[in-house]
Amino acid sequence: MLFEEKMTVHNLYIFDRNGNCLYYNEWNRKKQAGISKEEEFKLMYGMLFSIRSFVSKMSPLDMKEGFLSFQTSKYRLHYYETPSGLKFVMNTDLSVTNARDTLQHIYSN
Amino acid sequence: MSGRKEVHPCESPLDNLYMRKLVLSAGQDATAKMVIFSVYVVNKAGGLIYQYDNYVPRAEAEKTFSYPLDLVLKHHDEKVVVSFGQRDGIRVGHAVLSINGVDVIGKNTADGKDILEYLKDASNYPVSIRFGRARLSSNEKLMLASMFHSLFAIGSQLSPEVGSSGIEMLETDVFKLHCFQTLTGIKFIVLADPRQSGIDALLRKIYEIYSDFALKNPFYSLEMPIRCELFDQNLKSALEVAEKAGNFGAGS
Repeated sequence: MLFEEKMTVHNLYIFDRNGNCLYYNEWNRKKQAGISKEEEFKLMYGMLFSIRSFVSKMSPLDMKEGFLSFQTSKYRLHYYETPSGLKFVMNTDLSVTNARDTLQHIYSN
Repeated sequence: MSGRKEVHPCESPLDNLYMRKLVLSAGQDATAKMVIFSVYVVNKAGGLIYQYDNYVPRAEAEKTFSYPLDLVLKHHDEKVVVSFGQRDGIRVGHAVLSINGVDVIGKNTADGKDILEYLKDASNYPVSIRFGRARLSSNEKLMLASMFHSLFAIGSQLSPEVGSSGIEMLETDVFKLHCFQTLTGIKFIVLADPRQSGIDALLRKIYEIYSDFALKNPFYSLEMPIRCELFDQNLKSALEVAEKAGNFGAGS
């Protein structure tokens, strides 16, 4: 018996290695950040840059992939970075545990 | 290549079975051992008030080198780190931990000589250097805790959903960071193995221990560093219980 899982994707950001937002789209966003889109992109990129630096210092062991995702009480942020520095960021609801393959698919197709 | 089984010279086929079982269970124990790496407590303002390292696995490699050194080293954050030349367990980002068995002090050897200068001199070779992940200094831990405090808040601000909390769980391929923020703004942060279960219960338990042994301590001031012996003791035993419980959970 196949169960159909309802998953919600809120939005998707794609950044290049310099922090420029190459693509943004939202499908199901209920709350805006309260700042302009330009500022939001900068804040998002800055947060991810800081999280990556934080994780590389905090990590007790050597990492291969590094930061994968984080979750709050209401959403989950998935992160995928290519070797060329392209960053894919997707916010979903909490039911999605692993969107890495999806992001990799978006990158390679 | 696959399917090659090591045949142990045994008395009877039954012995062989017993030995295989032993090896299997030992292997299972090794992979099932899950640990809680560390605990951080951050106050309302983002300052670190308590830190405990339960288990710090150190990936280290000690090798003897001859002149010239084929690794490229550089100064970074008052340490000497590998910049290029990753090989044999020595990764980029690993720091020089000791030279010829003697621990280094920051950028200098124990004698006070600059490490890079020392390693440029051919007369000092062959030299034995130990590389590994550098331990975090207290200052670095303070900075990282404050950094997380801010990231926690930004996670809430950038939420596409209404009423989101800050970052409650952050996942990497090597560890998982869990954070519980109390109603008074104190954050309890636990770094653990990604497969470890029961961390939510552990975070609540640490909150309980904080209330019982720090807050109820008449000599403890709010938002200040926690220096209460009973807090340390109870925290350690709570971690032990959580590790054991987590192991059972994963095995079944």
